Amino acid sequence: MMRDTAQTTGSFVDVRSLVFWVGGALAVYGAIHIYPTVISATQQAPQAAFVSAILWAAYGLVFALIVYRMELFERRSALTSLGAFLWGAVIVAGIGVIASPAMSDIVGGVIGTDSEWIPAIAAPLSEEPLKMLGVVALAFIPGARIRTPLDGLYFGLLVGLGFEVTESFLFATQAGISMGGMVGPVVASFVLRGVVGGLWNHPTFTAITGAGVGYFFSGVGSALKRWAILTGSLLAAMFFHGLFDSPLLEADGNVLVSTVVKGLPVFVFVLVMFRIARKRERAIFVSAVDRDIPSDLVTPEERDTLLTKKGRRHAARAVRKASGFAAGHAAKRLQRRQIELVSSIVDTAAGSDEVAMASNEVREARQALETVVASR
Amino acid sequence: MPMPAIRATRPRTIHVELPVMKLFGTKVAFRPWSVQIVPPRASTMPRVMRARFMVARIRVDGVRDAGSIAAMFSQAGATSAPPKVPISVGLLSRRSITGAIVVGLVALFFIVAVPALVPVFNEDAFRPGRPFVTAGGIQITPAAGWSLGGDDVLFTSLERAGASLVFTPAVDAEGTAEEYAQKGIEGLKMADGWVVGEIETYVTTAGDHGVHYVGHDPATVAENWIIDNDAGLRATVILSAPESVWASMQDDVEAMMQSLVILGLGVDS
Repeated sequence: MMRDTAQTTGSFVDVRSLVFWVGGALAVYGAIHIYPTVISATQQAPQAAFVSAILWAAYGLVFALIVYRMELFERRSALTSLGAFLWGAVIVAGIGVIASPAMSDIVGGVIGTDSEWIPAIAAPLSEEPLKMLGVVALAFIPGARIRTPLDGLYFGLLVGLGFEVTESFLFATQAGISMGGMVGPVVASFVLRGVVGGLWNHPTFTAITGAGVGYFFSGVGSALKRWAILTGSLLAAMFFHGLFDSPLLEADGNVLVSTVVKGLPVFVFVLVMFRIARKRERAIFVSAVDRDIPSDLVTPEERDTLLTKKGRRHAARAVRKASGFAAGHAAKRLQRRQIELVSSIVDTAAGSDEVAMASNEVREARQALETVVASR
Repeated sequence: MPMPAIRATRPRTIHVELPVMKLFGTKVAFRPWSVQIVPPRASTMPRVMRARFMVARIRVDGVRDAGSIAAMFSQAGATSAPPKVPISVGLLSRRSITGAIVVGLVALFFIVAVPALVPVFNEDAFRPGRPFVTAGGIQITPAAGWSLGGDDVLFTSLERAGASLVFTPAVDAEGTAEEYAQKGIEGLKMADGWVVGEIETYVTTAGDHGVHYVGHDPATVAENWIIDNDAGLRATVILSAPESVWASMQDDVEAMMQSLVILGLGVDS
């Protein structure tokens, strides 16, 4: 069986992949089911729906841009990022229209329909697996390039963000409807869900499962370990989601305190995961440079500089100060080419045509930098 | 680079380093009729990286994949354990039939199996012909053919043939039902193409009073009921239906609206 990395696409759009088509079919299904709900909310309170749409679209855009720029070495595909967002916004929300009330009925039947714990148990049971499924679907498509736990965490954030935007749009609009179409409740809902609870909501929960999926697909540990981490990440996301939705600490009526106290643990948890995942990516980067890249392409000092965005910025700024704007620009270009070289080694391994091409581009970039510096 | 011939002559462990293995720093521990590839313990290379590196080296040496190198060991009279490759690498250039099945089955579980399991766990859940209390505290008796689209404290929707009947939660009534309806009509008129009829009074079988009006645009019909009960609670119900199916579901909708009883939040039945 042949494996040829050159046959992969640059994004999740891969017409040869059956997973892509299954995802497409689910997107149509999700759109059909979420459409009446959105239209109904819009017809009931056009003004509230308009304000809600503007607020949550802006929230989604700002949040997505922040996440999109959090790459360590290489920026991920914008198209795949959009696909992850839409999985949450359309597919999870659309299937949720059917699955969430059904799950609530099941949980209500088990623990009692008058229990105030129904949302805390039912919502994680249906929403977390569906959001995780988005990252799994992307991981099955090579072009989406989920190669590390950090990749999974990143796409998990976006799937969760997509779902949060749709859910919160409807939630805020309904808050407006319940108050006779007023805009005030829409804004209040936005502040509570987006601003106060924004750091520990759906994106954070799905970041956990996303990292688990990333590890499952990129690790070479035992199957038991990979399954344990995959399952553990789902259970952790469900636990934190359930804790957040639970009636705990709500007796005194202080929503702000309750939200922060219940949400902070998951935020810290994801922050720690994020740091570990970044450390792992840096280790992979260093190994690739040390083992496969001659020091004329990436020197040990350059390797250390490339490890952080700050280091790269400082190095380019130092060149610019010493040799002018053009030299600074050339230094940045050299850094980009060096990172692309390391990425091509991780993707295709040393000796491939891609690596040879990337090596030549590094040499050309270095030559260009030396020429600019010499001309000063 | 050709693989060296491997011959086992007696039952003892022989440690050899094959040239192809030396390229990626992996030792081969050889026993009669079996060969194990043992990654070096001292390696600082992350495992993901190492696995990819091995695949690449094998390819450079003219061998396509782990299966081929296993075959080479087998030809030499031995069996081999193929190098571990992450799933992400193994999926390259695959159509991912397994992935499609996994994703499809999990989605189908939530779309089909979970709703089908509801009657098993909760006999009081939504069923046509049986009174159903929404999460927003409104009781109705669903007509046959209508399914529950969503039910939470924000709103409940019943769906059929592209139409949705949405119930907002029972809330304390502010102002008269007519005044509330007037606001809704103004909202509809702000949208292009809507023609809205007169506000009419409406009375449910339970005796709760309210108002009702109908709006049309070229493709859609919107009906709105605002019903108040004696306890000062108000229910708002909105039907949104394609023009093509609206007439055919009038009887169903009327029967469901007549069955409406406002219970209030926190009331089960």
